[in-house]
Amino acid sequence: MSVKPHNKSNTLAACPCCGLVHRIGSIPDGMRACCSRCQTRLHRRLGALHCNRRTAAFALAGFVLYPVAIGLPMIRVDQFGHHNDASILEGTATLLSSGHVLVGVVVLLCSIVLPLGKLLSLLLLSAGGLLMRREHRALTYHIVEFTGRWGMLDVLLVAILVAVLKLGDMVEVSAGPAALAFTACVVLSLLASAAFDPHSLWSDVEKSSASKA
Amino acid sequence: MNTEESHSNDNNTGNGSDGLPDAIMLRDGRSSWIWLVPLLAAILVGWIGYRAWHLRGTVISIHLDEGYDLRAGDDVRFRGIAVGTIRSIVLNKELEGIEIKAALHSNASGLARAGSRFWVVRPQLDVTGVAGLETIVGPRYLAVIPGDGPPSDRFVGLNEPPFVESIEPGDLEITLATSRRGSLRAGAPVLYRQVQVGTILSVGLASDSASVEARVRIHKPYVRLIRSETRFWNAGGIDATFGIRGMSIQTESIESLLAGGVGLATPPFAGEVVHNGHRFSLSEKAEEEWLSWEPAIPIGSSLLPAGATMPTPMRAVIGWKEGRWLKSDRSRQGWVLQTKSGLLGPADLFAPGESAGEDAVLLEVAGQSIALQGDHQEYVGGLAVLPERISNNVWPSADRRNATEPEDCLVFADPATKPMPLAASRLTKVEGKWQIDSALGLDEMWHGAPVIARKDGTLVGLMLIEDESAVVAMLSSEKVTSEAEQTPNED
Repeated sequence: MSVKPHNKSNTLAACPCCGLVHRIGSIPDGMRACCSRCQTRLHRRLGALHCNRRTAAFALAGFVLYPVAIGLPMIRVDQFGHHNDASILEGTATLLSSGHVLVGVVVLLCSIVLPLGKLLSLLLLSAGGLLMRREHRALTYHIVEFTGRWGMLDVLLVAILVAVLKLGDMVEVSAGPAALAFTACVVLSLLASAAFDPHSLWSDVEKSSASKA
Repeated sequence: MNTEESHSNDNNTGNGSDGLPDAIMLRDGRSSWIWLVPLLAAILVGWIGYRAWHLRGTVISIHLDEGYDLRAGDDVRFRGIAVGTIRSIVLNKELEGIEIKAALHSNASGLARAGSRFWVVRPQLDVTGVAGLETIVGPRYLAVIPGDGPPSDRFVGLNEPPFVESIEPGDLEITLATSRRGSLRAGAPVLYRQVQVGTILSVGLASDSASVEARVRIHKPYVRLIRSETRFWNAGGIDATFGIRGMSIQTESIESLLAGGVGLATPPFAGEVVHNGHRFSLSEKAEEEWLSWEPAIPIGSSLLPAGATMPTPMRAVIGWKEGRWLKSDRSRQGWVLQTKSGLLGPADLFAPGESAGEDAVLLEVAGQSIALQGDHQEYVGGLAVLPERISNNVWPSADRRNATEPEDCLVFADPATKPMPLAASRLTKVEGKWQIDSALGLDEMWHGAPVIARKDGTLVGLMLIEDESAVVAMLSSEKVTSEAEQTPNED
């Protein structure tokens, strides 16, 4: 009945919410360690790969949607019966080739490179993170933290464009099929980084050092 | 729950050697459902991808010499609606033309056939008219006439809009040869009694440069007008003569005055119907005699199949006297059709009413009076044949058949007015006749009018107006009276 931990070499963890330091024993199946004061989750089951499977699932879903999101038309402009479809990829290429290098690079970074980098790193960390060396995991995690703030501004851009360019019958701007995929991609990547538990990055290291001791 | 409580109790007491609280253990939901998220994402990708692929349609490439300000994103239009979009326009490598990539919508992929012709619709203004007016303000677009060849994805477009928008099977193409070009120009009309019956397709020098040749397309309904004895003349321009009585100006029509055109006339002894490629010589002007020719050449109605003749029913009036003491004139009117065995018409036109007197009964047809002696042949269904020959315009006996189920028809009455189409949906089969929808509001004027099948141009019956209701009486070979020897089907 009782699963009370007695191992005195248990790891210590500070609650990310209220800062109270806890001793965490071995966590039984189907349980999670929580802060005794504010009940914030401290830790999932230690050492297991599946501790970050939420992150892995969300990142994978985002990764699947990604090619559609940047390859298909994002906005659709009708002007005097003249249709124009623009995907993010095409738009970026047009910007770069027509001499708007600065804007082109910003768009390229914010909407193509950074989101993809973030998704890939999250996927790597949550699934294959154990294969990486410890310093690399830390670096990757910092990259995720950093890139997360800069990616996926496009949906906002489309929303503003649609709102501004509703000029009646003259010009009509509407969101294309990629807008849905892109929105889903953004939400999934947000969920993935929210679900990510950075403690798991070092759990196996701690476990091995603990077992040595 | 017990587990949790026991742990929290432990924590509350601060049960640890270093005074740190133990973490509490809470139930953690199993989260294997989380893998549904990538699955859903994959389904979403599949759906969006399929739709995008489906909307992409058939991609074709078209070579044109001149782009006329056409741009990527403009429409491909057919029959007035957008059937595709232009994806890209680039100059070709040899700099001698442009290559257009266009995507046809999936429901219009049938336009991607060998023989389809594409051209850029742009504003065009010349003496024969204005074209492409909507493209002055709106975008240019690519128009298409579908071909009938095997599927294809490479086309060479036309630089000018085609003069004849649709080449119908059954059109006649002939060549006119003349010594000078005069006012001949491609696109000009070919006129018969100032009605346009064809179009000049091209004008150019003959291969030995000894004459000028014009290729002419005669539209299908008028093909029968062109016979081996037909004369053609240049109808463009003004023929002005000054004389002692002043000036006289002759021109075919204002249209041909401006556009240049070709007039034609066919003599009463017209000769054979010509075939594609026949050569005629084109005269400078019409001779007096040609203009007086008035041959009656049956031409098909555009609602009937090619080559079908139109019936020319004749108005017939039967008159008799009624009453024993105080006699009154009675009459009945309707249409009759001349057939080989006699006049085909409603039976009540060939026999007086039942209360007719003893006096002679007269039938007047096309200005002739026939005394009726009960020698007509009556058939089941209300039709009858009177063995009289009034007109030379005999309805051919091959062009008649027995129809059973209602079908689309045309009703011909007064030759001066248009035939009335009669859709199969307006007809219901009742006791061997076709009852006509009363909503059509047919009156006595249609009594006896021949009913011709749209499908093959054959006579299937006559329309009868009986007691305010209209029916189509079928041709029948069953006779009502036994003394007759002929059946209408052998005439």
